[in-house]
Amino acid sequence: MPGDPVEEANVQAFLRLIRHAEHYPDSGDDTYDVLYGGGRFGSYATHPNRAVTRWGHTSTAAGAYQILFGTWRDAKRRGLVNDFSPAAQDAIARDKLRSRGALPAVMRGDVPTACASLRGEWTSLPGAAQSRMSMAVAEVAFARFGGTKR
Amino acid sequence: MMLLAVLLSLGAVGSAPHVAVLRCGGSMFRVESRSWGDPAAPSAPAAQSLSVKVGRSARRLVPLEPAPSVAIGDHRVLRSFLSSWACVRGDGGRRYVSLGYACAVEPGNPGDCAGDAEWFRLIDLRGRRLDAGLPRNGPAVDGLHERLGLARAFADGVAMTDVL
Repeated sequence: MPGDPVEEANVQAFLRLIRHAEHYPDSGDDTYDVLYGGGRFGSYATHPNRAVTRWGHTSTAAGAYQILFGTWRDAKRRGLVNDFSPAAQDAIARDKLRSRGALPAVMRGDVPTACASLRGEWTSLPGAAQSRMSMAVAEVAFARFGGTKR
Repeated sequence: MMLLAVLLSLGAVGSAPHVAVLRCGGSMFRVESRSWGDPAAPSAPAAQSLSVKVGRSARRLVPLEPAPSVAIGDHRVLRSFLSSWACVRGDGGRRYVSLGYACAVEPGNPGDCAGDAEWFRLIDLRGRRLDAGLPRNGPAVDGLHERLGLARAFADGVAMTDVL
């Protein structure tokens, strides 16, 4: 957990940027109960683990960060989360920033470097295979969400 | 010597295998997974097998997708493994089994599963692959879903069950 308020604001802004990218061009707000393909699930007690086929692809991705069932199961097994609540989804996403080595870049507001580290995890981020968002748009969004470059 | 090494290695894996059973039509599928007991170890199993019993016939093995073992930290696990499954009913009433595979290596890291964290395969009630030769995703899979009457089920979302 970052202690510096600017670093923490950057982490929050980057998490919001991921939510935005995953549901682009929607804002990414109010997406904690969204299934891959756009449906909604009804309970945060557990990951919905529904295999949805859309756009020629099948996935269990769910929630604001489109977290896969296997990712959630690993996080639960490690004691990081107990459910699939918005707080749990945020915790898993934050843990991914750390495990993928992106946290230092996120904290200093270096969006291109952070995105490069996270493209394997979120293919909606600029530069990734399925991205519909340019790096310029991502940097503007990051600033709008309260992020600053140090 | 090599066999001994394999046996010693398996001996260190959590002793009791985890068993999951799926009843689908007249068939009973069973997956047996051996994982490391250590909570710090990856959740991917070190060994796994799938079998089916059709009606009163003898149980027989169903081939899983071939997966080499990989080292993650101090543990060797299957690079890809059966993660969840479901019995799915097509529009015509026939039933099929959807197998959800997962990759133990994060996409983008060396030795990953061609960039996929998860993918799905279909088998019939005898355990025969219905999508053999098809890519994991893409129009060909959509076409197969259409032919089997599964397009609506997968568009709505198939509720999968964890096997680990």
